[in-house]
Amino acid sequence: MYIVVPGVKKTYDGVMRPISDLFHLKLKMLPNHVSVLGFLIGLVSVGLIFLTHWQLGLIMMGISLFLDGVDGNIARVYGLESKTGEQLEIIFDRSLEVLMFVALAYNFGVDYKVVFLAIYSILLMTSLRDKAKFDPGLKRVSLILILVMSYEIIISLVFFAHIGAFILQLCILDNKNQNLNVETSEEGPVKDGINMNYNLQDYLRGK
Amino acid sequence: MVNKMNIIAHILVTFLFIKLGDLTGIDIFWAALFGVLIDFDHLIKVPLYLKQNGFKIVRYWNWRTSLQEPVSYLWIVPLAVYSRTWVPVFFFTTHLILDYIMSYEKQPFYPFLDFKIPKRRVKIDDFAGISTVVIVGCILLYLV
Repeated sequence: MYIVVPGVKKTYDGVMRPISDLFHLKLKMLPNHVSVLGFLIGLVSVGLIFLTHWQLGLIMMGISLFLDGVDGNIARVYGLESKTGEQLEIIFDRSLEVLMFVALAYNFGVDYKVVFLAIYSILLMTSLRDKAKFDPGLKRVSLILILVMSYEIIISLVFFAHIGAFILQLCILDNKNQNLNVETSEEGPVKDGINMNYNLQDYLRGK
Repeated sequence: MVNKMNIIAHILVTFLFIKLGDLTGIDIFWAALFGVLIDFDHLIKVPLYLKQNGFKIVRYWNWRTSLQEPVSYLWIVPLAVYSRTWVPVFFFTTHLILDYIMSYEKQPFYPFLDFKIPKRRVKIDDFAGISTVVIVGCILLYLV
């Protein structure tokens, strides 16, 4: 997950350090090992939800999410970040989200159309995640809300949050693109032989 | 002149189709949002404009964002499916058609593809804008 607020990542890494030490130094686990372990626990949680033990399934999902945070922390703290690890994490995360959302829809009898729209919106957002460096991170975590509101509302919120995130990503990339065009253009503000810049005085003088 | 004409054309076309489609309630909101108000995406670029140009007046600065390009169907169609109405897609399409008459540069599929439709040298902005307003205005007069 990309953490947007500056400084939060540093604090987060500091808090998680003892747990990362435990997994990496004591248990000799690499980030990818932790990712696989988290994924397997996630699969167990999906199975439990399908078998209608959704409360237990959510607890397992919490553990899976926790491990999801630990692997990234180990990678950052010990300089073990890799492209493969990052891709593996995305594949695991998206797969678990799809399975989890479908399992909960099956369990609570929710309209599958909304679930598929939510999954689509997450995949759409993921397609620009690396370019825009923005991800709201409200996917499986949002399922905690199931304790206080209906699954149908939660899945709708997930859909809107990720459609909103995609719109935001488009805006971020538009601004980046335009900034880059100006910075790399030798012509600067001159295009097609026309000086595009006018200061107010020149404009009023009709120059 | 061009921008004013353009927004007037959007308003007129949206109003015309609201009337023709006999839209009511939330559908009017969707029509206004995707037919006209989506133009307010230009405000997103105000900070960038100020950063690049300060308070200088820059003619032909690109105010367009991907929110008014075909790439936006990727989020508008699912939104329409969720809302169980065709209105957002239809009015966004009318907005897009009017915009694509204009001569400024477009990037229909950015950020997925860098393909650009370059700014046309022959400026038909005013002609297209005025024609659209006149035609739509006439139809409206006929209907009202």
